[in-house]
Amino acid sequence: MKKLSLLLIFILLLAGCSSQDFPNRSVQLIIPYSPGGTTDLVARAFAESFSKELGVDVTIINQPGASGSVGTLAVHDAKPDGYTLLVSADSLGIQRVMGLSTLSFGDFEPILLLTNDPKVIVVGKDSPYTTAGELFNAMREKGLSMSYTGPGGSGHVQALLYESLGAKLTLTPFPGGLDAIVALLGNQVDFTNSNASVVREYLESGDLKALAVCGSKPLQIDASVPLLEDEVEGAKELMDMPFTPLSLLANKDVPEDVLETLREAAKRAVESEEWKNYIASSGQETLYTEYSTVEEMKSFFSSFESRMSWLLYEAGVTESSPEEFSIPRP
Amino acid sequence: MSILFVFLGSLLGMIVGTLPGLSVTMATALLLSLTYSWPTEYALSMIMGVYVVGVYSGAVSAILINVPGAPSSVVTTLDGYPMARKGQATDALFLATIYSVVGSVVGLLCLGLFAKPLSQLALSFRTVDYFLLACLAMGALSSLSGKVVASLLLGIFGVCLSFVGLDPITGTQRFTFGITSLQAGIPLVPVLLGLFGLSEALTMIHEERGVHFELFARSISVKKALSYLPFSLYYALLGTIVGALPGAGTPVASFLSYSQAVKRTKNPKIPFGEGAVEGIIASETANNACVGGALIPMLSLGIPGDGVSAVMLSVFLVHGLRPGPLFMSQSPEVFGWILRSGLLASLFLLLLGLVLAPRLSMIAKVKRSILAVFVIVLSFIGAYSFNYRSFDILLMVIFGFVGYAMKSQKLPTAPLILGLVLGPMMDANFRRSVLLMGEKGLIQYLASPLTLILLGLILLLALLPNYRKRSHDGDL
Amino acid sequence: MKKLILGLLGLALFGYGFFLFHGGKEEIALSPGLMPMFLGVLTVILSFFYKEQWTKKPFPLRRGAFILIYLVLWNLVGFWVSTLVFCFLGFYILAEKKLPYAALYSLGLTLILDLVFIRFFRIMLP
Repeated sequence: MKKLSLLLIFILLLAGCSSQDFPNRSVQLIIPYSPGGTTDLVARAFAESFSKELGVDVTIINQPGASGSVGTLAVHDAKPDGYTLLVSADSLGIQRVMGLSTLSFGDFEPILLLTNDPKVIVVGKDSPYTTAGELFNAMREKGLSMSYTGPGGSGHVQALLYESLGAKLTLTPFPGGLDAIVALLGNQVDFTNSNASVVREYLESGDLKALAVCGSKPLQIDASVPLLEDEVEGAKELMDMPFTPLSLLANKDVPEDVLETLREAAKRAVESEEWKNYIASSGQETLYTEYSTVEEMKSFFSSFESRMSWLLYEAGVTESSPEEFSIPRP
Repeated sequence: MSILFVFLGSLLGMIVGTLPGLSVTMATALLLSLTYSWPTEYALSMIMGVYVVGVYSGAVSAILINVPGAPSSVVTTLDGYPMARKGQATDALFLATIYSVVGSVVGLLCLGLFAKPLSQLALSFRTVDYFLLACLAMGALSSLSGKVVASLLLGIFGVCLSFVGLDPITGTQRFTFGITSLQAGIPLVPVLLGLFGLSEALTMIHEERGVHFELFARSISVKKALSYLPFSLYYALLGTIVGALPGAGTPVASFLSYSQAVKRTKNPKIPFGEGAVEGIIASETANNACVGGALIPMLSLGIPGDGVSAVMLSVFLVHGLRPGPLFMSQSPEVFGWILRSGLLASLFLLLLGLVLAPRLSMIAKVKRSILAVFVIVLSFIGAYSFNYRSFDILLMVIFGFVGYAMKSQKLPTAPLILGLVLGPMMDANFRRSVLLMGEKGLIQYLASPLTLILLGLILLLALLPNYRKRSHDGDL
Repeated sequence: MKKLILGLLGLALFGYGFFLFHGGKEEIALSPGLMPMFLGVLTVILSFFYKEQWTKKPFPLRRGAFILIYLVLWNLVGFWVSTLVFCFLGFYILAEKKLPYAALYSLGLTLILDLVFIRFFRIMLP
């Protein structure tokens, strides 16, 4: 009997979780991708600074699967107390039309828009193409092969945009960005479009050559790489948005004051020395400077979702039409 | 000072690998967070310790309780456990220890001496070569048990299981039948835990309620053990090369090596499947050689060779290092740290294996039903910890029951795992090759030296007979 | 009989593969249905050679039930209680320890697991 009551008290003590001020225990960041990827690295760098500003431990949990939908769902289903947050990549914008899940950016409250990793067109060091212009001409005339990371990914989006400029492409999917690069290094494909932070080392060693940046700003790590819009007619309108936005999101029903605390801490975290050093050395762009209020973030998400969903739908690669989810045309 | 961290890591690796449910990848991911603010050298030392010893220690539980501590130790159960049943656990562990060290050292030496050429070799593997390699490894299906037809069918079943979820090439859903939780596919570790762990626990409770095995002292002399060294070198090299291929890891290396051993060993003293030491040697050498192998592309190209080296890559990035083609020339001291800690960890492996493992074999004497409870709980925790999904526990339980049914019918469980591991490699690479073939004809596409060699090997091995007892309703 | 079942399964596999191929836009060599179809054919062929006998074995009701209880409890109340209950059941009934020992061991084991996995490995068990 004595043991039983001791046991009961023990269990009660463990179960009891006083609800004092937020946060009073560790916060979990769920990353819906495997460790080692860009999302994971950005999240870990962020978690270091974030944890100092929040005053509690911030632990990272990787829940990869189904293009990010597994981890996303986990945060959506978790208790809306602000202790479980999501670091999302671009796939959340197209999960509905691709039939991966019923979730989208609108199902979450944004805390902070983190970074964007600019897409860069790269070829092997022995490639016959030295400018993006030459590459595109070849794409239009005879067609080229490109490695990418699978249907719906940012690489795929790029390929569709190039096709709208007249390119003919044979796309070969690989499990991840690095694998796509390996295929290029092994001369199995003609080119690929990679994220800047991933491809940096190969540019420096000369194993890969960057022919263009697919964005409106020059690359931090190598300002000499031309913008695609300067090399190819008609690219400007297509390349004017971030394609790989990483964002920190919370469950929709988290109370407003908790959200405020999180937002404040996040803003301060990205002002820290360590974070700034990380950004400078990785070659990524910051998004929070451009989209800092909640309204700006939400409107970014909806226009992102709009453009991506309709682009993919019109290329015929989606499961359903954006109309079914009332996604407006861009 | 970093020696201390290598030792700590080795100790951790020993614990993690031995306990089913805990994996080296998990431990490395934990260390990633833990060592975030440590000096780089200590972080890397500890991680290398865990890596080298962790890959080995899966063999401990594989031999002692027929539950592989990791997917790479699955093949070790095939000959290791029968040896334990005969009271020869100490011998089996002794061999596993020695040859894991051999494999580890060979792998690391290749890393140190031949990193550049080996990574170029790895790059020259095209998707079609990966496909052929997977086919070669699938050939192991006929060597895993005497029941060839059943093995093949189970292998096919395993491959089908690997198809569940999103198709990597087209994004189409396969075999999900509307169940959202299946979209991410059937994960390897929960299935392994269920098929091997839970099923074994169920068997333990029933069939062998009060039974415990005899435990004889070591009967193999050091000289006898070392006589297999030339034999093992082939598998060490095989393991290193397979490890150097991004996307092929320790399970592929150990399955491939085991099947090679079965074909190449003319007259094993004890037949394979009943305690052939050649089986243990081949698989343990190969899976530890994989460690050195996986580090080759990681350090010379910035491309991880397997899951653990992928986490190590992030450790580098987190500490401000920049892995890539210039890494070895820019940060030669880090390269040195890794080599040193790896070799040191191999030494600790030897020590821990020789000193601890025999103590651990006392486990063979514990009452089975108690062990069973422990294994079951570990399986639950392990299945959940893999991806933080309770659904995986359900999968684990289902496969546990399936595995129990299979074991009671004396059907082999290893082929299913082989199929599950190799399925994606075969299917995705075949179709990628078709895409990459483009307008080139088939003959022209295949006409590269590497591809032809692999094709030749497959034909050769298909024709060689198996030195294994064939049986239909006898023992496995 | 077994051969028939296997043969049918093989046909089903082939059929499903064909269904996938038909529903997609790719040529056959690229279709996700390719492998299932191929494997289905292989299964049908292999079914002719299948020779295993099926021996009747009793189903482990008690052990199975305990495991199911564990599973259900885990999903309902989380790691601590379910593991405690399961360990207790395991030690008391399956390993036939005396009641107070079973209770003590199960509490001890659960505690150790908590310390190792949650505190040390920082794995967030529910």
